[in-house]
Amino acid sequence: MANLLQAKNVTFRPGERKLLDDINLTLAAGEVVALIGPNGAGKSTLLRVLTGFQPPDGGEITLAGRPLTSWSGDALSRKRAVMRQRSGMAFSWAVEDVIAMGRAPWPEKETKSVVQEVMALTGCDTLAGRDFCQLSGGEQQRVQLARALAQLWLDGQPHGWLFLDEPTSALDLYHQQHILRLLRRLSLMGTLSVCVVLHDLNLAALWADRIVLLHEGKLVANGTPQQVLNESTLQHWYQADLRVFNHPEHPVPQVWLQQ
Amino acid sequence: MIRRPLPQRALLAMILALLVLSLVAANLGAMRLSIAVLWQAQDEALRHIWLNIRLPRVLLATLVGGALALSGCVMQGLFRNPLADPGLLGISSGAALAVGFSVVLPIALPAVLALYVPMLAAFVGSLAVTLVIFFLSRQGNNSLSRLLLVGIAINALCGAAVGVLSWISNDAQLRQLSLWGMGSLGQAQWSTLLATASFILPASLAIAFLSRRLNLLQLGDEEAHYLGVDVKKTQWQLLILSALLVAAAVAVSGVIGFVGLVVPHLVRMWLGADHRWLIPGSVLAGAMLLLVADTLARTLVAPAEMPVGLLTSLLGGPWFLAMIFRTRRETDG
Amino acid sequence: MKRWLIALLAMPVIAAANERVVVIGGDVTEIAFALGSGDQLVARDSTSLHPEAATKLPDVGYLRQLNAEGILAMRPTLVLASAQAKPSLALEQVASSNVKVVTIPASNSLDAIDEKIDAVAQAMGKTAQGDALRKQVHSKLASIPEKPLPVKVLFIMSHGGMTAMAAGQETAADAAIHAAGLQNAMQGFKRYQPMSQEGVIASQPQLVLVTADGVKTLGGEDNVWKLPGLAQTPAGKSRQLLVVDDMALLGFGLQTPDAILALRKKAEQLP
Repeated sequence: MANLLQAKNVTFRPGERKLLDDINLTLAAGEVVALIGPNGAGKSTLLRVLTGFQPPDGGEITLAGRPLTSWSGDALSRKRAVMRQRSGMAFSWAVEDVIAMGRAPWPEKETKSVVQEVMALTGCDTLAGRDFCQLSGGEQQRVQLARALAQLWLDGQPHGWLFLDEPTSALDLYHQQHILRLLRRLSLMGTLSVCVVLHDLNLAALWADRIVLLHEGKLVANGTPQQVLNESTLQHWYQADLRVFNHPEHPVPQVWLQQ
Repeated sequence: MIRRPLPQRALLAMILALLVLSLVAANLGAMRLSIAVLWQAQDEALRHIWLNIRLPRVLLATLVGGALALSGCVMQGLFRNPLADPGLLGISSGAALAVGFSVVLPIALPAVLALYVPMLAAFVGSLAVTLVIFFLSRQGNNSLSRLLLVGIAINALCGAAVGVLSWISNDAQLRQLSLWGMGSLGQAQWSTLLATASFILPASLAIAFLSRRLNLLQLGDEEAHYLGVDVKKTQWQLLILSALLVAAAVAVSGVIGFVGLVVPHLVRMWLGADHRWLIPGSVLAGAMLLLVADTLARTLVAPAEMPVGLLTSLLGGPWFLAMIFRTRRETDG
Repeated sequence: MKRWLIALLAMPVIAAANERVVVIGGDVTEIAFALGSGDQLVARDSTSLHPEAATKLPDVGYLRQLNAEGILAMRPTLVLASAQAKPSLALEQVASSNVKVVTIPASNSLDAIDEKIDAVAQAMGKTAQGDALRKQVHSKLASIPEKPLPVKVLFIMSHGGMTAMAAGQETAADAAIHAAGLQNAMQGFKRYQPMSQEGVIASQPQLVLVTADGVKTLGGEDNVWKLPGLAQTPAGKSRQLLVVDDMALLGFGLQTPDAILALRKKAEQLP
C-alpha cells in the first residue's frame, strides 16, 4: 500500500470510443514495467492517466494509498516524473539549467549537488556547459532523463515513479542499450519504479521485469516476458506473422518477424 | 560552450547605464534645459518646464519601453517562439481601430474629456481585445494555438476596418491616424504618466513573480505540468498581464513597433533564456532603447518631432541584423 | 506730460515689438502676415506654407502632432492656434507654462474668414489692420455674383496610390462650391467616396474641379479625363476643368474669396 501506484478499474472515454477500458494495474518500486501494444492500443493515454495529466472518467488511481487527485502539484512532482518522446526547447539553455528545472518542486539549496550527481549517473557530465539545442537526439534524451531523475532524487537515489514514453524510438542502438541498462540499474536500487512504453518487444523482453500488453484500451496480458511474449498471444493481438525464440545468451524470449 | 556573463553583474551594469542615459536624456531637448535648472534660483518658468514637460517625458519613455519589451518577452516565452511580439494577439490593432473611430467619427464630448479621447479610445479598444483573449484562453485544450489564430483574425479584421476608416476620412484625419500608428510620446505629462504607471508597474511585478513558472513552461506544457505548474492558470495570467502592458503602452503612445520583438531577443542572446534574468534585462534594455529613440525623436528635427516608432526601427533594425550575422558566424564556425 | 502720453501711446508698439508669436494653421499664418505682424512670428506649423516668408520660419511640426517643448523652445509670448489643432495636450501644456494660447475658429464658411481675421487681429492688437483686411475680403466676396447658377461641379481629390475620390456633402469642397453659387454634382452622401463610373456619369457634372497637387499625382491634366466615367460627362465632352490651389479653395483663408471667384467665373464661361 505504502509504495504502490495502483490503478483500479480505470476507464477513459473522452468521446465516443473508450480509450481505456477497465484497467487494473499496480506499479511498485524495484521493478521495470514495459507497456506494449499495437498502435492505438492506448499506451500513451494510459501513461497520461497514470501520471495524473488526464483524470480518468471511471475508476480510481491511488499513489501511496492516497488518491492521485488529492496530491498537490508540488508534492506529486516530487513523487513521479515523466520523460516524453520528443523534447525540444525553443531557446538556448545550458544542459545544467535544463536538468536543474527538474529540481523545481524541491528547495533550492541542494540543486547544484543533485544536478552533478544525476549528470554523472546518466553520462551527461561530458555535455556540461553545452547548449541543449545543439545536442544530438540521443544526447537530448540523456539530458531529459537526467532532468526526470533530478525530480525524484533524494539522498543519492531516485525515489518514486518514473514514466517514460517511448524513450528509445529516436535513438541509435548504442543509446537504446545505454538508457535501458541505466533504467534497470536504477530500479535495482529498490526505491524507483519504472514504467516505460516501448514499441520494440525485444527491448522490453531484455530489460523489463514485467510486461503489460494493451489492446484497444483493454489490458489483455500482464506478466513476465516469458509469460506474455509467446507466439499465440502476440499473433492474436498484433495480427502479425512472427516467431518467438529464446535469446541465445539470456533467459528471455525474443520476437522475430516472418518475411 | 555557452559563454554568458554573470546575470547579476550584467543587470547591475544595465541599471547603471539606464540611470546615466536618463540623466543625459533629461538634459537634452528642443529647449536648452538641464537638470541644473532645479537648483538654479533664476527662472521659475524653466524649472516648471523641466519638471512638468521634460521629466515626465523621460520617465514615460523608460516606462513604455520597458513595458513593450517585457510584453514581447512574455509572448516569446509563452508561445515558445522567438518571433512572437506584443502585437501577436491583436491588442494594438484593436486599439488602432478604436482610435480610428474616435478620429474619423467623432462624438461630441466635453472639452476636458476631449483631450484624452484618443488615449481612452485606445485603451477601450485594447481592453475589448483583452477580454476576448481572456475568455478564449480559459477554455479547452490547445487554446494557445487557437489564440494565435484569433490574433491573426483580429489583426486582419481591425486592419481592414481601419482601412475603411482611412478611406472615408479626410486628409487631416488620415494624417492623424497614420501618425498615431507611428507612435509618439508627446502625450507625456504627470497625469498620463501616473495613469500609465498604475497599470504597468503592478503588471510587471506580477510577471516577475511568474518567472520560474515561465521557465518551466519552456520544457513544454505537459512537462511543466509534471513539474507542478498549473499550466492553464499560468498561461492566462501571463496573457492578461502582457495584454495590460500593451494596452497601457499603446493608449499613451500609439503603436511603437520593434521594441517588443527585438529587445527580448537581443537580451536573450546575451543573458540567456532564464526568465529570472531575462525579464528584468528586457525591461531595462527596452527602457534604454526607447529613451534613446525618443531623445532623438524630439531633438533631431526640433522644434518639430519625429514619430518615435520610426526611430526604434531605424535604430534597432541594423543592430539586430548585425547580431544575427554574428551569431551565425559563431555557430557555423 | 507730453512725454508720458507719447510713452503711453508707444507702449503697445513696444510691447508688440517684443511679442514672440507662434502660429499654427495655414490660414492663421496667412492672416498674421497680412496684418503686418510677420516680424513678430517666431515659428509656424507644417501646414503654414503661405506666404513664402512663412516657410522661412522654424517648423514646429504637423498641427495634430505638436509637442509642448518644441513650441516652448521658441520662447513664445503668444500662440495662435487654429481650432483644427485642438484638442491638444501639447497646447494645454504650453498654456499651463504661462504662455497665452488663443484659439482661432476654423469652420468651412465664408463668414468664417471674417471670424478668423477678427480673432487674430484681437490677439495681436492689430484691430485697425484687421478691420481694413476684413473690408478687403468683404469687397472680394461682394464681387461674387449672388445669383445661383445651375452648374454642376464635381470636386475630385486624388492622392498618390489611392483611388480618386469625389467630394460629397459636409466637405470643404462642397462648401466652396455652394459659396460660388454652384451645385455639387455629387449628392446623397457625406465626406468622400471613391469615383464609380456609373455614379459619375449619372451626376452629369459640367465642370470638374481638381487641386494642383491632385493633378500632379494623376500625372497631368490629360489623365484627369481617364478617371472612371468622366469622359462621358458633359464636363468631359468639352474638357471643362479648373485646377485650384487646395489651401486656397478649401482652407477658407485669405485666398479663398479669389479662388471662389475664379470658380464662379469659370462656371459662367461654360458653353
